Amino acid sequence: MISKKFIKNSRKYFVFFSFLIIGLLIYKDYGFNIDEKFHRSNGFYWLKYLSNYFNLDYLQIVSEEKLNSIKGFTLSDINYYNKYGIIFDVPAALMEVILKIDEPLYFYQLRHILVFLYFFIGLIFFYKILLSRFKNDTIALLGVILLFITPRIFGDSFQNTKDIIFLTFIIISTYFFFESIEKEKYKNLILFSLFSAISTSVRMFGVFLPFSFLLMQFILIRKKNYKKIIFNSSLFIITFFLFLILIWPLLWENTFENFKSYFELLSSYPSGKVFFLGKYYNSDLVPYTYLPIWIVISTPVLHLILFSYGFFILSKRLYGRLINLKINSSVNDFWRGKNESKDFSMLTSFILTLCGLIFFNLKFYNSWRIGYFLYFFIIYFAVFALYITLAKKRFNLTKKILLKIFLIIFFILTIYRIFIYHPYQSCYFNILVPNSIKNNVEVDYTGLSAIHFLNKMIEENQSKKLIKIGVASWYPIWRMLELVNKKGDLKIEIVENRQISNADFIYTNKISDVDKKFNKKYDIPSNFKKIKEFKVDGAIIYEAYQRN
Amino acid sequence: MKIFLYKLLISVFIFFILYKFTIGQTIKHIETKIEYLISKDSIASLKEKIRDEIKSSLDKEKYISNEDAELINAFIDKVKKDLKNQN
Repeated sequence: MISKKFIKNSRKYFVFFSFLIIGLLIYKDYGFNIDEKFHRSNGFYWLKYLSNYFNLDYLQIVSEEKLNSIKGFTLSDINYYNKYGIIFDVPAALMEVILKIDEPLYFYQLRHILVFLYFFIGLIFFYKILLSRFKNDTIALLGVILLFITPRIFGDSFQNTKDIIFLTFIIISTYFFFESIEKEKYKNLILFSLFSAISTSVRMFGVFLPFSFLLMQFILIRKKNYKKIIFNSSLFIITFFLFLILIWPLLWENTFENFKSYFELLSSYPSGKVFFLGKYYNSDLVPYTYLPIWIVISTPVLHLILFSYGFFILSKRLYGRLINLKINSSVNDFWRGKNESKDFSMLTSFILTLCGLIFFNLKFYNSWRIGYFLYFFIIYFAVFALYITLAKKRFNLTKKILLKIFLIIFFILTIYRIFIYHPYQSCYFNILVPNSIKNNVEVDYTGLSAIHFLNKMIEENQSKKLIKIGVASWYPIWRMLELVNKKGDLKIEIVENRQISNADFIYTNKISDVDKKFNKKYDIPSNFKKIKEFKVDGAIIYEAYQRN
Repeated sequence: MKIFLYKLLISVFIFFILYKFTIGQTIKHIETKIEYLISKDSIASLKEKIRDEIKSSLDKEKYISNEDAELINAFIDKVKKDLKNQN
């Protein structure tokens, strides 16, 4: 008995320890995200504010110095764009101060390892969610591995300081949501409201969990329990807003005005162009098929098959419950038991958020990373499919063995493809996607490849004193200059777009803020020839040109 | 009452989806077309095309065909005549 428990636990620790080791070994391989510089300044802006608020003089001086040193002509003005949540940016800034990091490269590497650690914590909570729902350690571990090997999430977990943080807090919030279903304690309810408030401060879409909770309370309401339900719901709403204000310093003064200004900021973003299936769309006018197509092409086949099966079974069950609604039913209308209530909340949250993302004209920039939190649901339904097929007695032994072989093959294939894409898993496309599609959508939208290009240029031009580099895409490459491997006396000068024909080399990650069919802004001048086409799995990550 | 509310909510949701996929889709399509027509980029491209056309017409020995020239002349004469009669 003891040895069985030991094996069970050691298996769990081995999986999580392996994740940690993998993360620690490879976090330096990743390029730098276009947003990182801005979010670093956001961290110091709010660290300065907080240290001033709590009279921490030394911290205030250091954070002010750091904030003033973050400059750039394409960087958004932090005094206006200061409305984002601080749950990642401030701890990252504080760590930078505590560890006395002065080297630019290390600023960002620290942030990369921190994002991964946040995600790692998210994985632990995801395991706990699955264990609480399916009561099966193997299924829960398989689910965690499935989330970890989701290529776009894997790649982004080393550099995306927003969507991965959001995903992490959605997972933690859901854990406490499930806990409050499992054990009706005020502690769980308050922790759920705390973490859903944190999620909401990262991305407004985080409000779907409170809505889901309130919807369930509404369904549960009966004559016998209405006082308790109204009390719990009121407690949740009040604590949710209190925590939202507490963890979002923007709301500490002029709460309502500043909250309004956050929405004004979101709607004030210009509608850039989005390249999708060979056409340019305004970011708020992308077709309804945009998100579903992106999900299908950038999610591994294994995930898609399992998700489809799990989603189908759960939808069928919900449909069955819907058509059997009875006026005076002694049991609940939509679910039987706590586990089904968790599935119900996941299914309704997924359907409603997916429809919200598709139909409410959100500004989709950068493929679909704004919706990466949907992977949480996708994997949940995929794990449900695993549970149905492997743990339940639905299939006979032969079928189960065949299924296990199928799963092993697909797990190996997915891991192999993560290996192929390294360190560009953020640009992943599944094995069925033809190159014609890969190269007709936005690929390296955050410019992860720029540092690779610059280091390559330095390596190949060491004999020169100066090289001039132009950019034929919507990407501020100068932000990477402080991070390159400097060797010898070689200097790099970034040439303005208007004078691009004077550059020695041109970099393009093929991202454009204008319709390239009409606007020639990013056309490569005729005196340049292509010297490099950096491809991963057929998808062009970047191109380099040299002047003749 | 509760059952009625459930049914109402589900009906509203289904109606919303249907609306979006029919009328909403058409509206979005029209919006995209209008945006495409009035966008700076397409206007700039149109200007560029007109410029190119004028330039290429200058290079050609004969830009208007005899048939078109006759038609345009007849039309101008007609307009002139009408304007004269008006006065």
